[in-house]
Amino acid sequence: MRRPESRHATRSRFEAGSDGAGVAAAALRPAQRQSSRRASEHLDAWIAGAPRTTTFPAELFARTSCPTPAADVHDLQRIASPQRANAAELLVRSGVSLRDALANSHEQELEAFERFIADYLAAAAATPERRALYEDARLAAPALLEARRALEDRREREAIDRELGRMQAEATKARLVVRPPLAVQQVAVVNELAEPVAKAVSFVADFVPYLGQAKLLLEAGSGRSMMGLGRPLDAEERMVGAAVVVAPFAARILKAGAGAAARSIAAIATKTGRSGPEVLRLLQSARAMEREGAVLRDALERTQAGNALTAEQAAALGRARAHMRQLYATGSGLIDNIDVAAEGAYEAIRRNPGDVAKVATTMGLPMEVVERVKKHLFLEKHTLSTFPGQRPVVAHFVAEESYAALWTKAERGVISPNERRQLMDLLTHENVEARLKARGLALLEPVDPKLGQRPFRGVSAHDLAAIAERNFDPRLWARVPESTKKQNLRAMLEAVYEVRGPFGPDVEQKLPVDVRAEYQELLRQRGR
Amino acid sequence: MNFTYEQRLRLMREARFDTGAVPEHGVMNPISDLLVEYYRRVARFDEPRVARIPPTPETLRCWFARHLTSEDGARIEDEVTGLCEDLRKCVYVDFITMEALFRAILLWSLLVDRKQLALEDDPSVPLLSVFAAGYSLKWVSHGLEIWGEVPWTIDPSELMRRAEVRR
Repeated sequence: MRRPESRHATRSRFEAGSDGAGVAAAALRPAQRQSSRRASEHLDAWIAGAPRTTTFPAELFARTSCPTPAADVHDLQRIASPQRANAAELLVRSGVSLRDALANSHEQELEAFERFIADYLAAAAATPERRALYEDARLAAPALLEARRALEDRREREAIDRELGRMQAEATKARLVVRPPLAVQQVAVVNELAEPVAKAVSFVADFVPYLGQAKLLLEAGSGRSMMGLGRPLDAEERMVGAAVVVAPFAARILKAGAGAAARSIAAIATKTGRSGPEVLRLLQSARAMEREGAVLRDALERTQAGNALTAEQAAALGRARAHMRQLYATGSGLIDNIDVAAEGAYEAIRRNPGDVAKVATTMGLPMEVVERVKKHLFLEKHTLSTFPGQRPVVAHFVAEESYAALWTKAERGVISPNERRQLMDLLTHENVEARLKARGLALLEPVDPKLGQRPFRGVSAHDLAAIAERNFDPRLWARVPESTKKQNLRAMLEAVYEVRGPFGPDVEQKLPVDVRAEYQELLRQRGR
Repeated sequence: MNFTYEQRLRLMREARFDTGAVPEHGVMNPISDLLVEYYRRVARFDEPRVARIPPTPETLRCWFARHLTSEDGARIEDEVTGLCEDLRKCVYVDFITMEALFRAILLWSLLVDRKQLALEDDPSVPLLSVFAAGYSLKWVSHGLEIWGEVPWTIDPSELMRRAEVRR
């Protein structure tokens, strides 16, 4: 543990002046000396002295998605607002990107928003000289749609939540609070996800008698073919099948207005033992999947026939999985730690056999290195230790939008110098991690239940990859047990070398003595 | 007492990210208190992705589109590029996460300067305090890594639970 006096020395630069940096540092310092007081109280005290500005408008920001358009684009948008029938075509002809085109469409209905995107894509596809616009729009559209739909879902949830509250459904909600916490980001076992849908919707069928066909979901729950073929279904088929059957009922319930929807949801919640908000999310997820129902059904058919999926189908499947994962609540209720658009992008990467060669070319790396990283980062499932009270899970890494974006840009050969450096860092980390994992190291250490955190001990593949990525910083390297160093140093150095090549002279000079010696031996063996 | 865009920029430029000590407990400590505050504030307008430490590029694009001019965007990008260059001198930072956070903080800062965002609602304030104390952040698949003298990982959903209670 660091001593307080050294901390003060560290921050003396901030404290010397009367500027904001000093203020922020001073705001935190007492909190660290007296850990019993919450730091936020000090922060609040600091904030209290600052001039107040206008009240934060809750709905101000999360409207739609687009970069700041140039002035001439603004002018165009006034002329060709997305509400106009031929707007998409006009905007495409004028070279306006999809994001820019949607800049002034904040008040638009969701349906019109979706229709405009479809029109834009069609117009761009039909205009060969605007091929770049089409490609850009095709990549951007899923994230734009997801962001907009998430906003709509949120508004709907807020309205129904208010109704549920009014109906004194708090007792039902409270059940979630006592449920053991679940690290949502680590739940990726798809076959666990079909069950809550099947279970809840069989209740829908009981609850609303004319929905007898929802009994089909029992098939989904039992893992046998819904088409009566009796063929065992894989988890993905069950998941998608279940949600697709749920969707019409979900849409019907949710369309009935907040009051009626809340009554239905409360009834389902009572029967299923799930909370109102949880049932609501379940219905929203099913509805979201049905929006891509045709693509998903086609994807399943292709999978069953042993055919490869298109990028669009793969992305839709990834998004469907992400929606279904959201059905799992943490101890606090429903926390969305799953980025639906990013999960779709990861799935498209998983199903893309041609990207490794392109990424390798863009980054100037050997194919086998990029192949190894892709396998580790996107394709493989990992046994991940979880948080106190949770069992380890076997799962893909949770999708991160920025990683997918870097990878995709490298594949397309349009990566900026800064992004290239970021991707090199990522590739270095993942390459080291993959090689160490192949040597039998655990990916992560479990969380220390006494500390409530996962401390850095320098023995897991992830920790050692972090050290290698940072050029074997002596402070971190000193924390690694000697036996771990002996067993893994060469593999770490080789993995770094494979991505970054030789260290520069200044970096080599700063390497810890044992690392430098091993590195020089590595160079000698490679004839350098 | 005013905490302006320029002052925030200076703080981020001068922060010693490698120096924060590991607190005794992963969940109940001043740093996680600040992160709870961050989550609480950002949840008001980034609810769907609240458990992720940086707002996503998509969310940022929303803010750009609604409130900032193209000049603002270019200015922020220039500043972010400069900050990332400075950041290269630090050993223990994750450039992907930190670049996203820098961008978000500068964006919020402009909004505060223009009185479009109340200071008490500004998510960058607790984050800047975390930076000022010598820590940087990295979103990872298994939690949230906090990097000071050494890294440690906490469960963001644990922080969110606390943030939800306070909301």
